[in-house]
Amino acid sequence: MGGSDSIVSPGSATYREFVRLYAVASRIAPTPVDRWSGVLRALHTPPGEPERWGAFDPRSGDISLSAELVLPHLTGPAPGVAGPAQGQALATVLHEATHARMETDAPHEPNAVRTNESLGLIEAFAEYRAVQQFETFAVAAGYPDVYLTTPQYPGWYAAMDDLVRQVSGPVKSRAAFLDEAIRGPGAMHFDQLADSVVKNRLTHDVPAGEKDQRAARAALIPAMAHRLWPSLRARPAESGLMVANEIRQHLDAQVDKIRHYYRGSPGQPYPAEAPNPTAIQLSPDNGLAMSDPKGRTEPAAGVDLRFLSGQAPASGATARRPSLGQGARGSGGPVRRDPHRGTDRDRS
Amino acid sequence: MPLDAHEFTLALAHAKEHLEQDPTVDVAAEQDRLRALVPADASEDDKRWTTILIDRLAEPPPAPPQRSALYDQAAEIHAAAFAAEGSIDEQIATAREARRRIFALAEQADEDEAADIRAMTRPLEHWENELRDPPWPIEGSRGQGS
Repeated sequence: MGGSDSIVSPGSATYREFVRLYAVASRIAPTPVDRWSGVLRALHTPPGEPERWGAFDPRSGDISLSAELVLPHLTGPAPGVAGPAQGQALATVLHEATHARMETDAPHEPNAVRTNESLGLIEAFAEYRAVQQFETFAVAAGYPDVYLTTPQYPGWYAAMDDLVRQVSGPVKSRAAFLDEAIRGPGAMHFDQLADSVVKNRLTHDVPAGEKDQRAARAALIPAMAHRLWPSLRARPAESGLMVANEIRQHLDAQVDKIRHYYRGSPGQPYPAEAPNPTAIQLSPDNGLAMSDPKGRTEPAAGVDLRFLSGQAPASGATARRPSLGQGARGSGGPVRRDPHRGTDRDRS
Repeated sequence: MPLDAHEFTLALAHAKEHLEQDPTVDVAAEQDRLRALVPADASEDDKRWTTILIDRLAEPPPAPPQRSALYDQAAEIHAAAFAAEGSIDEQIATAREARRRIFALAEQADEDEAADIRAMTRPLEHWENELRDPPWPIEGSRGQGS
């Protein structure tokens, strides 16, 4: 990747301030997972290389932050100049904390989306969270005068903001989606958005049982997994709007189909194809329970196989069947790490 | 009783959402609801930061800053980098070059705007990282056309 890094001494003021900020991020939005190893690295940029803001490494659990753009601004609560550079530094901390405090993958979830689009959505969500919760985070952390300007250009933040606004409503608000998605897993963000659509627009149509709810969400996901998620086209003035309009049309059409289906009292879930059919293979019919994103459990075999098997996929649904290699990362199970415990690793 | 910072954060987000959606919402009532979430015996620090955020609810949001042509140029580079075709390696190279160009533009911008222009590289940098080491197999492969 270029550049070098060095471990920030746990005894340093910078390290202690990062730990404090990480704790604030967790306090305002607790999650069931903490993947941070407790190791903080300083990224140094060699001459001629573009600087890097930072990263969370899911293999080691280490967090790296720029020695130029981020770490010098973690000064702690103190009067002084609070310019946009400090705002972007704190936003980077919040972005990396978002990644570190949720699982990325969810291989056992039928509605997990494990595609390029999902990678884009995961990054878009981390940026979205960093902007949406910035003020609360900064003020709670003792930086009341630091500010962050909302991005004024098409890109992941704008696309995510538009998508969240589209799916939100009186039953499940934007704030409720944000709160849910912060807990992850990242591969379930599309499912969490689809859940907003079901709750807000199909409240009286889709039965409350998890089989029907999950099938409806599965049918809605392809409408949102726009092919341009990771690649918003050039001509910025038009690209974000174009994607938003296309998604809106696809969502509206799919909502109508689901509503029409259930008004016929079919007695079985909407015939949708799960985005992650490999979840069925990973969860053999041996009675192993699969958890759903809300933390409930139910038998893996049965409904999921039924609504996946032999039935025509929803019109317009994209049949993505990623070949899940054995080297795929992530266990999907919740992991707790003590930030002060060192560098124990749970991922291959 | 300690402050439930999660509950407060969620309630604050709901209040902001209500105010944005309906300008006729009673701001004072929203503020009262939030104050009720802060226990009388909460820590002084928790009282301090929650009070700041509650007070700010009544303030008009700041106007978006005027942006220069440099900001627009950087935004265009940012968007074009995500539209890159080709192999994974080529997409990584495109994102990297875009970051280099955006940082160069930031050097020409005034201090306030420079930080926000530089920040456009953060999603590109993370996208590069995801392409290099995705958590699941992704379309296209290293060194091959996609």
